[in-house]
Amino acid sequence: MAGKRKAKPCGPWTPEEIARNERAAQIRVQQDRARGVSANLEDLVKLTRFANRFAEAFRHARGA
Amino acid sequence: MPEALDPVPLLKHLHEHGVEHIVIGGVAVSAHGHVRTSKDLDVVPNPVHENLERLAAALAEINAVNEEASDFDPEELPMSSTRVEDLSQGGNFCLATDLGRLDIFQWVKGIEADDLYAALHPEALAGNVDGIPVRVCGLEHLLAMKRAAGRPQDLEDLKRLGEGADTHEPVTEDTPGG
Repeated sequence: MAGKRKAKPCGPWTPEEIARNERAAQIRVQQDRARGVSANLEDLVKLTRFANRFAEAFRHARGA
Repeated sequence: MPEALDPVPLLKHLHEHGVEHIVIGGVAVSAHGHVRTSKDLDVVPNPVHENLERLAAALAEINAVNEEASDFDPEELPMSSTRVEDLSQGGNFCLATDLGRLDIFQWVKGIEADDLYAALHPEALAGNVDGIPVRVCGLEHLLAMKRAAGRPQDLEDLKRLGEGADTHEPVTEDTPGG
C-alpha cells in the first residue's frame, strides 16, 4: 500500500494522547492480571534479571 | 502467544536477522543507569529499504500483529508491520509477537527529525547483552523524549536520570521497578 508519509506531530504529548496511553496501559494491566499471579511473578523475576544485566552491559558506555 | 516481554530472545531475533535498530523507552532507561523493569521493547529501525525488508521478515517469523491495546490512534496504526511497503511509510507500530510486546517507532515526540534513526545514531551507546550487540539512544535524546511525554513514569525517569550521576543500584527480585 504505497502512500505519502504522514506529517509527524510536534510538541509535547496532547491530553488526548496521554488519555489514550493511559487506557492502553490499563488494558495491559488487565491482560496481565488475567494471566495470574504466578505467571506475573515469573515474568517479574525474568524482567528484573534482564534489567540488571542490561544496565551492567552499558555501564562502561555511559562512563560510569 | 506470550503476553509479556521476553527481551533477550527478542533482541537476539532482531540481531540474527540483521535488523539495525536503536533501543529507546524503558529498556533504554535501564541502560542509562536507572534500573527498572519494562514490559515492552521500543525500537527505532534504520529506515533504509534493505533494513526494513529484514525487519518485516523478522516480524513475520514471530507472528507480529498490531496489538489491540495500542496507545496509538487507529490512524497511526497503518497496515501491517510485516510488509516492507507499509513499514516504509514511516508509521509507528505497537505489536504483540511470539516473543513479547514490541513497539516500532519511526517518529517520536521530543525528537524533531525526518529520519529518527539518523538523528539518534550519532549519540547512541553500544553495549553487549548476553552476547548480543545492542545500541541504545543517548541520554539527551532519552530525556527529550521523556520531557515530551510527561507521564508520571516519565517524570520519575527524568528525576532519576536527570541527576547526572550514575544511579545504578541493581534492583532485586523482591524490590521490583527500581
